[in-house]
Amino acid sequence: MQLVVCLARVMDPAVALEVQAEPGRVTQKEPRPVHVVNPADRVALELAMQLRQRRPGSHLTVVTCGPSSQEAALHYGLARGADAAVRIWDPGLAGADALTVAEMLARCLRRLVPDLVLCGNRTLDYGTGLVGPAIAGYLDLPQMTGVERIELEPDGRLRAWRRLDRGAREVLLSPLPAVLVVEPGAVTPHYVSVLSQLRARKQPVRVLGGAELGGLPAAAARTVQVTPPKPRTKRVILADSKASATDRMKALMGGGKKPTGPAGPATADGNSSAAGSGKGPLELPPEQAADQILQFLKARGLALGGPKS
Amino acid sequence: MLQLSDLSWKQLLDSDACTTCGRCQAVCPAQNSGKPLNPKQIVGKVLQTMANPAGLSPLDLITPEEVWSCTTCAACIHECPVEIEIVDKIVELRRSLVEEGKVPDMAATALQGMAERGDPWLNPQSGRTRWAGDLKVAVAQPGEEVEFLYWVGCAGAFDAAAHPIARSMVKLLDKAGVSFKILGNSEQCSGDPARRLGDEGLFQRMARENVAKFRAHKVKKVLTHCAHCFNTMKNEYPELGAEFEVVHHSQFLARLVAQGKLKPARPLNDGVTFHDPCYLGRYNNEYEAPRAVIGAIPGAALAEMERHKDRSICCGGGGGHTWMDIRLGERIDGIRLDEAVQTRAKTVVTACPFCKIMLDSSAAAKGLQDQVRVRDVAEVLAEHLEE
Repeated sequence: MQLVVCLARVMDPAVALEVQAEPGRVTQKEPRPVHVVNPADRVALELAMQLRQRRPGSHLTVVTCGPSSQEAALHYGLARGADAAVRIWDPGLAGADALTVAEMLARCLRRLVPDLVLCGNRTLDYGTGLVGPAIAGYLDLPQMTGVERIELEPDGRLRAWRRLDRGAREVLLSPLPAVLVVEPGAVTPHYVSVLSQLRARKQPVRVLGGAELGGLPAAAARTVQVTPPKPRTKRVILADSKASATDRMKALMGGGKKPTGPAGPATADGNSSAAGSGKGPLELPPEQAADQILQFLKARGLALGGPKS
Repeated sequence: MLQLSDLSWKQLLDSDACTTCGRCQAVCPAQNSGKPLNPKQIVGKVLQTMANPAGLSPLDLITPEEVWSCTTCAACIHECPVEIEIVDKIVELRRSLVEEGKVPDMAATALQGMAERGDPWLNPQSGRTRWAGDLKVAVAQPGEEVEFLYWVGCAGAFDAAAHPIARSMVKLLDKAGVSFKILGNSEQCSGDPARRLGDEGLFQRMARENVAKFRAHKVKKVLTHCAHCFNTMKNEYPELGAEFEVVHHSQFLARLVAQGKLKPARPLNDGVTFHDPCYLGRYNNEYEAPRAVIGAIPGAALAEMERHKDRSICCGGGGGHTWMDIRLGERIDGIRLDEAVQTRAKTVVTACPFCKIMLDSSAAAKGLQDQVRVRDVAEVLAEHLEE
C-alpha cells in the first residue's frame, strides 16, 4: 500500500508573535523562535504508521513544501518510520498561499501515485485548513475530513470515523485512492527521540523544484495587509466575598451588578433564567438542596431516573 | 530493543557481582509502595539474559512498568554492599524504550515540552520572570559578563509552590549584599528530567545549549535552589564542556549564616524536621548544610525522621515522576509525609523544589495542612530573619 503523509513545520503559538506591517510578515519574538512539527500532522503520520504496520509491504513517504528549514519535519517523519521523504521548493514559492502549496503538493503526489494521502486538519500557525481538502480537489479524489479513526476493509475500501459536533460520529466508506484529513487528538503519536531524529538527517531527502513539477502556478491569493489583533479587553467580575452564596451567584450572573432586594430562601426574582422554574436562587440545608438539584437535573433528562432516560 | 551488547562491560560485570542479599529491595521506595519494580530482580534478570545464549534481550524479561516505576533515588545503590549501579541499568533500559517510542504519555508530554519550549510543564520561555513580581532582579543582557548567576530553574519559574523559594532567595541574597544576575527569559530546563526519562539525545542537546549560554556570559559560579539542577550541572555538565562552579543554595546560605551575613532573629518554636533530597544527599553527600541553616534559627529543635540523611526515603518526584501519574500501589510522597508527621514537627523543611511540591501536595491531599507546613530551607530562613 502506498501511503503519503503531508507534514509541515510550524511556529509554536506559545511564543509571542510579532507582526511586521512592512513587508507584511509574522515572526516570533524573544527569546528565540520555536518551530514544531504540526501536531495534527503528527497524528496523521501516526495513523499512517499504524496502517503501514498492518499491511506488510506498504511504503510510506512523507512530503513537505518549504525551504530547507522544513526538512526537520521530514527528519521527524523518517525517524518515526517513514520509508522516504520528499521536499518541494522553489524560491518563487516564498510566501505562497495555502492553495498554491496544495497545488504543488498535489503535483508531487500525482507522481507518487498514492493509495492514501493523509494530512493534518490545519496548521497551528496559519490554520487555514485548506491544504488537505484542496489536494483532494486538485487530484480529483474522494476526501474524508475530521477523521479520528480508520480501518481498512477486506475489500480494500477505507472506513473512516468522522468527528461531528456534540460528540456525534459519522462513519464513511470510501474506495481508494482517497485523501484523509485528520483531527489532532485522534491518537497519541509515539514519542520520537532526539537521537533518532538526528540519525534521520543522514537519510536522503528528494528535493523537487518548480521546474520538475511543471512550473509554478499563479498565486491564488495575495497578502494585502497584515495587522496585529486588537487587544481584547478583559472584564473580570469579582463578587463581594463577604456576600452570601446566593448574592455572590446573583452578582456573577447579573454581570457584576450588586444584587438588590432581599437575599435568602425561596426568593422569586428576576434573576431566574438559570433556574428556569420561575424560582430564584435558593438557600437551603445541604440535604434539601441536593434533593432540589437532583429534581432539577431529572426534569431536564440530565440524571438517571429522569423523563428522558 | 536493548541487546546485551549495548550494555557496557561495567554494567554487565557488576550484575555478576550480585550476592542476592536483597538490601536494595528492602530500601526501594517503589518496591515498598506496591510498584512492580524490584531492584534485585532487575539485576537478576540482566544476569539471566547474560546466561542465555539465544540472544535474549533484558527487555524480554523486564516489563516497561518495572522500568518506569523507578524514581532514581539511588537508595538501592547506596545499600548495595558490592556497589552495583542499579539505577544506571534502569536508565539504560529507559533509553531503549524511548528509542522505540514506548514512553508513558505523560512522560512523552514532558519530553516534548522540554524539546520544544525548554520546560517539562510546557510553559513558554516568555513567562520565566513572572515569579519575581514586584522584586527587583537583575537580568543578564545578551553578551554581558555574569560572574555569579542565580539559576531559577523550571519549578522556581513556573510552580506556585516553588515561587516563594526563588523570592526568598532574592530577599536573602539582597540582605546579605550578594550581587547576582539571572538569565531570565533565556533560561531553559537543565535537561535533568530528559536524562532520567531516557532521552539522552535531548539531554545532551539542552546541556550543550546551556553550557554555551554560560560560556557566552563568562559565568564563573552558578547558584541553584534545585537539587536536580545542582546535581546535573555540577556532575554531568563538565563532560559536555562546562567550566564553572556550582553551589547548592543550602550550602551558600549555610556559608552566609556562618559568616554572620544573615542573622535569623525570629524564633521557630513549634518543631522542625528535615527531609533530605535524594539528589542533594545520596547523590552529592550533602547532609549538613541545610541542617546548619536550620540550626541557626533560634529555638529550632530539629527532630529527625526515622529514615534520614543517607537513609532518607525519596519524596517520589524523581526519575521524571513529577510528570508521570503512575497509579499503582501507594503514593511514595504519602509514605514520606506520614514519617514527617510522626516527628510531631510543625514544619517539614526541604531543600529541593520538587520535594516541596510532592510533600506539599501530599499534605493537601491528606488534609494535613493544619498539622504540618512544608517549606524550603530558604523560605524558613527568610521567614525567621526579622524579629
